[in-house]
Amino acid sequence: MEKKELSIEELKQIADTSLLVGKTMLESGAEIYSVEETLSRLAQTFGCDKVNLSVLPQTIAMTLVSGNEFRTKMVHIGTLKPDMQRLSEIYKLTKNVCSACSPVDVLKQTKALISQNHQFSGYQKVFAAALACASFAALFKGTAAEFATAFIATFLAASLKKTLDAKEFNPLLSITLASLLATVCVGLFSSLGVLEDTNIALASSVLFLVPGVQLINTFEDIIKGHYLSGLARGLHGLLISFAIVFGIALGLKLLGSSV
Amino acid sequence: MIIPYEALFAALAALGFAVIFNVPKKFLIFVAITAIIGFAVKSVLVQSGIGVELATLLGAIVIGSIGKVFSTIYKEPHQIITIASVIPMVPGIFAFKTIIALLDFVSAPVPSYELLAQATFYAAKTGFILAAIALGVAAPSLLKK
Repeated sequence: MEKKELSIEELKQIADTSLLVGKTMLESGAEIYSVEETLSRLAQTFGCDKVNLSVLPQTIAMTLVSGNEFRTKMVHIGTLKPDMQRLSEIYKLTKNVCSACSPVDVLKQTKALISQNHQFSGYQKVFAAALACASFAALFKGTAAEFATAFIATFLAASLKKTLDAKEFNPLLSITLASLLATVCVGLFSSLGVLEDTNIALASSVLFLVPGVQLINTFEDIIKGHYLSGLARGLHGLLISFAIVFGIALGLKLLGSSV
Repeated sequence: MIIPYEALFAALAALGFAVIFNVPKKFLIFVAITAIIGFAVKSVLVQSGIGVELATLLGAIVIGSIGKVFSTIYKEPHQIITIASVIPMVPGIFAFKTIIALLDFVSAPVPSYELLAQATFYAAKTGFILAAIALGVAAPSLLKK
C-alpha cells in the first residue's frame, strides 16, 4: 500500500503530541532510552517516515520527516519529580496508540492525564517518609528510641521540605534546610540522653532526601550509551547529596560538642 | 538466618519510598514483596561470608529480574516496582560515616592519616554499594541492546 504523505499541519500535531508525552515521561522519572523508544514508535505509528531525536535531561528536540516535508520542534523539560503513577499511565496510553488514532486526541488524553491529582496527599507522603526513615533506623540495628527519634525528626524535616517546595524555593536549598532540621532535631533528642547510638538516628533521618531515581537512571543511561544525559543526571544526584551533607555539617556545627 | 523483623522493616522502608514516588496503590504489595526478597537474598549472602558489596549486587539483580518479569506480565515500566524496592539496601550508615570522617579530617588541627583512611574506606564502600544497586537493577534490561 502506498504510504500517505503527511501535511506540515499533521506533522506539527504529531510533534506537539510526542513532545508532551516525552516531557511528561522524563519529568516523571523515565530513562532516556525508553523515552526515545516511545517517541519514535509514536511518530512512526502516526505515519512519519523518519524520526530524528535528541533526548537530554533538560530538552527534547525532534525532527519528523514525511516525504519531502519535515518539521522540527524542541521542548524544555522541567524538574524531575518521580511519579510512578503518571509514568505507568502515560506508558499505557502510548501502548494503545494505533495508526487510526488522531494525534490531537492523544494530545488531549495526555493533557487530561497530567491534570490528574496525586493519589497520595502531601501529608500522607510526609508520614511515609517518616516511616521509611524510622524503618532504616531499625534496619541499622537501632533501638526503639532511635526508631522514634528518626520518625519525629524526619516528619518535621519532610514537612519543612514540603512547605518550602510549595513556596517554590530552590530545591537544593530546601534539601539543605530539611537535612539541617533533621540533624538538629536528632541532636536535641540525643542531648536528652535517650539515644544509644546517635549516628544511627542521624544517618537514617536524612535518607528520605536520597535521589534514588537519579542515581539508578544514571547508570542505566550511561550503560545504554547516553553518556551526556547519564552524567548530567549523575551530577544532579551528586549535587543533591552534597546539599544533604551540607545540611548535616551545618547542623553538627550548630549542635557543637553535644553530639 | 535473617531475622524476620528486619524483613518487615525493609518492606516498610520500601513502602514509604513507594508512596513518596507515587507508585500506583495496586502495586504497593509487589514493592513490599520484592523488597523483602531482595533484602533477604542480600542478608543471607552477607551472613554466609560474602562481602556486602557483592551481596548487594546479587540482591539488586534479583530485584531487577523480578522487575523484568513484572514489566513483561503487567506491561508496565520496571521502575514502578524496582526503584522503591532497592531503597532498603542504600548504605546510609557508610555514607554518614564518610561525611563524619571527612568533617573531622578538615577540622583537625593537623592532617590525620587515620581519618583520611577512614573517609576513603567508607566512601569506597558507599560508592561500590550504590554502583552495585544501580548495576543490579539495570542488569536484566542490559541483556538486550
